[in-house]
Amino acid sequence: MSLRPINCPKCTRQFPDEFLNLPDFQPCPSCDAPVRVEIFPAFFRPIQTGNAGEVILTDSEASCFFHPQKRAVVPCAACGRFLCALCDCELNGQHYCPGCLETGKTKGKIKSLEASRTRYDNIALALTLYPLIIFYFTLICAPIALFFVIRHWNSPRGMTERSRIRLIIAGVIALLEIAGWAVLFIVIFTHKGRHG
Amino acid sequence: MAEKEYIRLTRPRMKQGFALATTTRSSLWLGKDHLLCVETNNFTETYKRFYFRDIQALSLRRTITFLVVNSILIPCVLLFIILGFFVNDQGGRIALWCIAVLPAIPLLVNLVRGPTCACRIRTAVQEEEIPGLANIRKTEAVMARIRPLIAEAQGVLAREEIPARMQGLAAQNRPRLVVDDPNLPPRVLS
Repeated sequence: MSLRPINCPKCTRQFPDEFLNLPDFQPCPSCDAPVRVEIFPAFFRPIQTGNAGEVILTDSEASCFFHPQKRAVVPCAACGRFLCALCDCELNGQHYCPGCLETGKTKGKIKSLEASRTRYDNIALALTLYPLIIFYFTLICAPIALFFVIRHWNSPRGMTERSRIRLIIAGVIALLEIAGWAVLFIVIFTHKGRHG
Repeated sequence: MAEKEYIRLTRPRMKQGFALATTTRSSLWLGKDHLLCVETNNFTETYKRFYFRDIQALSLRRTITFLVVNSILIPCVLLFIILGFFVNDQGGRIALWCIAVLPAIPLLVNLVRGPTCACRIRTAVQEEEIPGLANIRKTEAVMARIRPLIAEAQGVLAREEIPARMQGLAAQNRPRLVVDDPNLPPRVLS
């Protein structure tokens, strides 16, 4: 259950229970700010406590990979190692060992643990568009943007983004910029060749 | 075509209302069993998930942004319209009325969006403000959409149940005291 009371979002004083789950805004008794609070059954749900794991009593019982003296209760969904109740980390109905959980988080294998992503498609697009303000920078930035497009074509995009449209636009603009510079250099060198 | 994993609930919105230095924007997305709050500065995205089974409370506080914006923009619009009437030159009048359109557009947007609010989502381990839910109409629409999903994950809490359950909660959380010796302070049982 929740030990923290429901507080007014403005003055952080405790909000009266009789004002909860009302359809309209109610003035906070302390600061008079119009507040509406809706609570759900999870507010009253007790916080689950961890289990220490049971000690093996007979030889026929499987033991935990990490604690050989403890009884295994579940295999890890990622590596298959037997885990005791202490090592069992449940995530969305799947059971993982702490090592796999950490690996899944750092390498992004467990999607629901992913906390951040780099948007290479936006970086590539910025590398093609921002240097247009001072055109000369495109000479350096366009090849870098093209590298980003090729290198990160299959990299995960945003969690909510599905298309590669930004990468495609960045790639096309970068190619146009490179082509523009190539044409400019050819024109300059041919002009120099003719006149000097 | 594959079904979308996330449905957009709110458009990206600046995290702090008047912050100019930061470009961090936040948007809210509806997943299968959770809400996803995406904060982005264009080059990196950070994610916060609020699982329906874990959401303890949603709190809304009416803010004065709607009134402040109106009280700034309405005089601006009126000023240029009235000034236009006092100018004899036809071209100058049209120019002033055209200038009046500039604050009239954000005023109209503000009026269409309606009164503003600040929404917070609370779970057992965090309490987060959702910048995307900044006007009451939008927030109520989002709440109407997620309420059945929360009820599906947690069950329904009737308003009549709340006082009794709160009392039970308070009784459980109250420290149990034992008086061993009347001359000594009571001992707290864990």
